[in-house]
Amino acid sequence: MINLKEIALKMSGNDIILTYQGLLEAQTISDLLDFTEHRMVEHKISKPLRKKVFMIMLESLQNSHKHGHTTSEYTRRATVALVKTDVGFELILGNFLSHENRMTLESKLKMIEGLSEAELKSKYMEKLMDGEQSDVGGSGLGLMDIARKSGNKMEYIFDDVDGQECYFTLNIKIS
Amino acid sequence: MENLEIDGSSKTPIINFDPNEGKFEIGGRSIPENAVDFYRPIYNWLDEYVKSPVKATELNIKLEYFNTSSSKCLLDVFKKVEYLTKNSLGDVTVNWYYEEDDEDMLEAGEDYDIIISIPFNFVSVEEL
Repeated sequence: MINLKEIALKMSGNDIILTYQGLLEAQTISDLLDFTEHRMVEHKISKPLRKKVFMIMLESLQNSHKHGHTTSEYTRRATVALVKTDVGFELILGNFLSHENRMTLESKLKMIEGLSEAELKSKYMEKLMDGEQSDVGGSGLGLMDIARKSGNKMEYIFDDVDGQECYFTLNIKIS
Repeated sequence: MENLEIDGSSKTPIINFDPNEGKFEIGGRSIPENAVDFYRPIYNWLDEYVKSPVKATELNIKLEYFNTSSSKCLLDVFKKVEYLTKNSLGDVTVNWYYEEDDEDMLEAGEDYDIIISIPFNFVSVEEL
């Protein structure tokens, strides 16, 4: 089983830009993004890469806020880590999910991982044009946008917690 | 018709639409979690504008960042002004500004250019 501890140990030789555990409210997301931008400037990261990391992190955190499990304050807590590697960055995000949301998310992730770059673009355009937007502002484009911008396959795991929920870990390599 | 002017914030863009000149600008950051609420008054304003537009309308997009919730709203903005060309009511040009080396922003503009029938000019600048 892959978990955040193993990933953190694997990354121990790299620079940790950000780690956070707690509620992901809209203001917290803004604060985390501001902090991350500041840290990347400190690390003299090129502007195009800074913008890419910013957008991928923004979409990931807003997705987590919209679709994370919300039955208790404890299970609303997410864990976020952004790590600088030799070739770019790795963003690791973990949060609790209901099994119902897991099924939806897992089918989207499996759909995306089976697509070539051209197919992903085509699917993205199709979704962009359908005009649908959920009550919470979900466009259905977030994961596809992350996949397009990162240019790498997303790694993920769902760990069963109990009959009601699971823990979702997403690892995005950004280069 | 009154100008539409909205100050920018850390999450929402600057809006500066001048109906007499036909020059519209959206700039800054558009990253609210639910962008529809922000863009709704813009749609309403554009619905009025297309009833009595000037001959040439220019839409300048100078966004540093926009999220996927905003991407569908931007498409709706483009569709509102595309109505003018589709119905021979006026010419429309979109100037899509992007920071040099920002391939993601250029690609995002190119996506819209494929979908929307009005011409897009891509303008590379050092900094937005």
